[in-house]
Amino acid sequence: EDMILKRIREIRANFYNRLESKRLIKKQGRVPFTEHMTITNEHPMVVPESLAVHDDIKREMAFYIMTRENVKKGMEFLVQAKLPISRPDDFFAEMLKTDQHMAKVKSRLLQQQVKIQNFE
Amino acid sequence: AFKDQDPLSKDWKNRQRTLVLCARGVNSRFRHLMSDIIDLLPHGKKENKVERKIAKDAIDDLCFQRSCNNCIYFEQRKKSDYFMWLMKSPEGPSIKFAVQNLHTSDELKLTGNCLKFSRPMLSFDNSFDSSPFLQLVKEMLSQAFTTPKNHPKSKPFIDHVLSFSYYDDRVWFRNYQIVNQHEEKFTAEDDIEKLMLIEIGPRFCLQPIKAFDDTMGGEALWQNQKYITPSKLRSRKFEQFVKRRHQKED
Repeated sequence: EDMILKRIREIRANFYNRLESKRLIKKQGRVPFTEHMTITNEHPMVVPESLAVHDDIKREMAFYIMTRENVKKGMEFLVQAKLPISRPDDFFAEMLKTDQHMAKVKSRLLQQQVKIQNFE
Repeated sequence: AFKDQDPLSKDWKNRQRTLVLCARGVNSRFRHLMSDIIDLLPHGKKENKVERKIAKDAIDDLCFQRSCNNCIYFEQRKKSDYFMWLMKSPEGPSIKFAVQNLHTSDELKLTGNCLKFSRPMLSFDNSFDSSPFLQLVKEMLSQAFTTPKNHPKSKPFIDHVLSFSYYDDRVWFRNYQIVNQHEEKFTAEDDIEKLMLIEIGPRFCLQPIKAFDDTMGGEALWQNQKYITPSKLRSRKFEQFVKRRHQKED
């Protein structure tokens, strides 16, 4: 256990040395959020106790709620820091998933809706 | 309160890089997961496949050549068992995970999308602070996955979040897009209370097996007592099967 703690301290120190606002860290004693972008939730995650192995939806909901809380907090920090959040409308860039892929996903969704309607 | 000296500066100081590579003989599904991860890391570097037997000696060299100080290495055994190593080079430490429940962003029918190489936010669950080992996992994951500020390849906007949750002794990875209440991109003027997330993919969960002091070896820092190797699981299943068959014959 002590070994692990020691290693954590080492890699953290290594990380600090690379940062832009070293002086600031010394003053405040911690890394500014705009550098590390990491948020840890204060409250334990609420997962229903007797969870069946295949009960995916409840588990995903727990992850979703936890992440949403974190993102809210993070967004507050970012707005305070006045960092740009969204891209301007005239800024075009490559997306993670291609348009082709997204079109496929959309057409599948539409198909499913049609199926449901026909069923009803 | 929160303060940053100069949030708008364009300097790229934190030259942290992550090397992503896989062993030879990894199947297509796992390789797609690897390319998904590369797409998430603007500071990531891709390397050729390495032979599994020499990986231990080769990785430190490769990291040095490509000036990377984080490394993510994928390997596969017996066609169905996936493993992921997360390590700091050259001093270590390293952690070995078993990868389970993996879905790449190709195969999932998820509707989210985000800019390629935008900076992600990283979200961790509360239990990551509870034990020294989990703190180590958190620190290493956050160093490997955060995009350094002002990295030249990255786009200076924030529109997705990588979420890590620790549940059932596993680390669950999810990637969400951040949108406002109309499912459009989130801007600084929008109401924070109403923001929503849409999942992008990929998904996987990591079961920690063992943590080492050096890269891929050295003194063990931590070991998962509950971990059962997949081949043992399979052999147990087979034994049960044989037992049942004997009972039927009697």
